[in-house]
Amino acid sequence: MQTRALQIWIDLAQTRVLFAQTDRAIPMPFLTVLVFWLAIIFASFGLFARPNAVVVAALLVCAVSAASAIFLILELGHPFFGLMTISSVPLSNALAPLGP
Amino acid sequence: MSAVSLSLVAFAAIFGGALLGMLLRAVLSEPHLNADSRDVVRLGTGLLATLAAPVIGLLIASAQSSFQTKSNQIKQITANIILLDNLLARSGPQAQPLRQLLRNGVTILVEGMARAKCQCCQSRSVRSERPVGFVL
Repeated sequence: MQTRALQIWIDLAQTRVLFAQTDRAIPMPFLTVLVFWLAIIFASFGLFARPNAVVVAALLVCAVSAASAIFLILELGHPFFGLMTISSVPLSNALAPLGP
Repeated sequence: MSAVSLSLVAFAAIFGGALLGMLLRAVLSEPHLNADSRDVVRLGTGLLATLAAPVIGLLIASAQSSFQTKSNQIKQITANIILLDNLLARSGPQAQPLRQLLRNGVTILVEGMARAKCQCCQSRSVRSERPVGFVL
């Protein structure tokens, strides 16, 4: 039983160390280059279309979609901050059976 | 900077690029925008689009899987804590202080997770960069 407890303790410690190594998911230069590519693509769309309301609206919606993809990437990158986080409900549920 | 502000900057850059294109169209004279130059620009941006599309797709997939991994690790920790507590409960009275320690650790971890979330909602600038996993 002692070895078993020790094994679980080591597992816990391992997961803890893995958790401690959460750094930034994507590097900033990478993101800058990506946004630069997207800006160039959209600039070419704007260059060869006669500007009217529909064209501007379509470009706006497409730009929002592209930016939302980047938002998703960034938001999923750090799971403990921001709008989308891992819930601590399973852990607090674990507190109940831990009673003395 | 937080994800929201960074993606707003990205949106401004992308839509600004589109507006810049329209502005250029207004400024440039007609001969610059003939069929040949249109073909060249189309080819160039086609290359960029094929570069950017898989990059974005793969990034989303990898971010999603890393998020999932973290979430699974939380569940794994929970299961391990309960198991460990059960084992300790069966090991007699000398293990009781350890159980108390474990319980305190879980409380601190839950509070740490909640605090990281709240701090980010209230003021994004003062959030602690210290990973939550340290507190257990």
